[in-house]
Amino acid sequence: MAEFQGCQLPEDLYYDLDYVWARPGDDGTFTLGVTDPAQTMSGRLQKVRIKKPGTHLEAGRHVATLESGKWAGGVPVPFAGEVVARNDTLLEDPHLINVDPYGDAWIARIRPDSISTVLERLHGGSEAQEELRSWIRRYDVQCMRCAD
Amino acid sequence: MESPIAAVLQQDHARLDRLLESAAEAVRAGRWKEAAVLLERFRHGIVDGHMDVEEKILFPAFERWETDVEHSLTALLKKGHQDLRVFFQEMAETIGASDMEEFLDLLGTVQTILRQHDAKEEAELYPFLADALPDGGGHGRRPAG
Ligand SMILES: [Fe+2]
Ligand SMILES: [Fe+2]
Repeated sequence: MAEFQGCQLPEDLYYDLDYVWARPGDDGTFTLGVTDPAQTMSGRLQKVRIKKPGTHLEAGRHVATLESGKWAGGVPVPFAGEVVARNDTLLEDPHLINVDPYGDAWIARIRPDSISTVLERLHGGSEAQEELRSWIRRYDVQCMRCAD
Repeated sequence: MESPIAAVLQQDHARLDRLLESAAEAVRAGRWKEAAVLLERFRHGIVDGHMDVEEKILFPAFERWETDVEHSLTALLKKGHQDLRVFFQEMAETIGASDMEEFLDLLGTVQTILRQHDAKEEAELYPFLADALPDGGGHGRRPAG
């Protein structure tokens, strides 16, 4: 897996080039989560709220809200769609996002309204890798793996 | 000594905090119509006034003046504004739906974001505006609202 300043950046994922990664499923849905540099910038998370399945969201609206001791922020959906599943484990254990942001700590699964907007808003391959590296440089993020 | 521009902006943060708190009080009392009016007054003051002045005048002046070519600080602050605008919209919707629990949840998050955002501006941006603005900020536009 690609790494930059200690931050993991899986090459097989799509990104909104800010906070969010997306993994396409076989059923036309996309699983979303936050990137390793984004979770690092947030600090140790203490509270997570995720929209209920069945909720329809316009592009840019928050599918989840994250809070650490002194930081809070929303997780925007890159494209319009319906929440079809959410990761209830995170509601009990928000810190899991700091530990396994690309795996067990996925946030929600979204069924997009239209696939064409999805392709417009998500980026992959070397373009995404380059953009994410400059994101990490801009915010001067240094990722460290959490052991617990 | 604190420059006049820094003082004005800091007072505007406090004024906006009070406006948001008054909207929250109306929600807690179940006065939904009044809450909607007060939240809109807050939203207009912060989005169309305060943030607009920051993004159109203050951030560009600071970016021309600073030596950080990445403009990390203003990039982070602009990202914060974008996030806040979405949260304000969500708060207005919870008032429209008379959903007190959801509103108070969002309120807590928004107040945390604003506290951190405002503190960052007051410590890392506002003190340098007197030097960064062409007229020293003495005749700068006052945030509207
Ligand atoms: Fe601001
Ligand atoms: Fe401000």
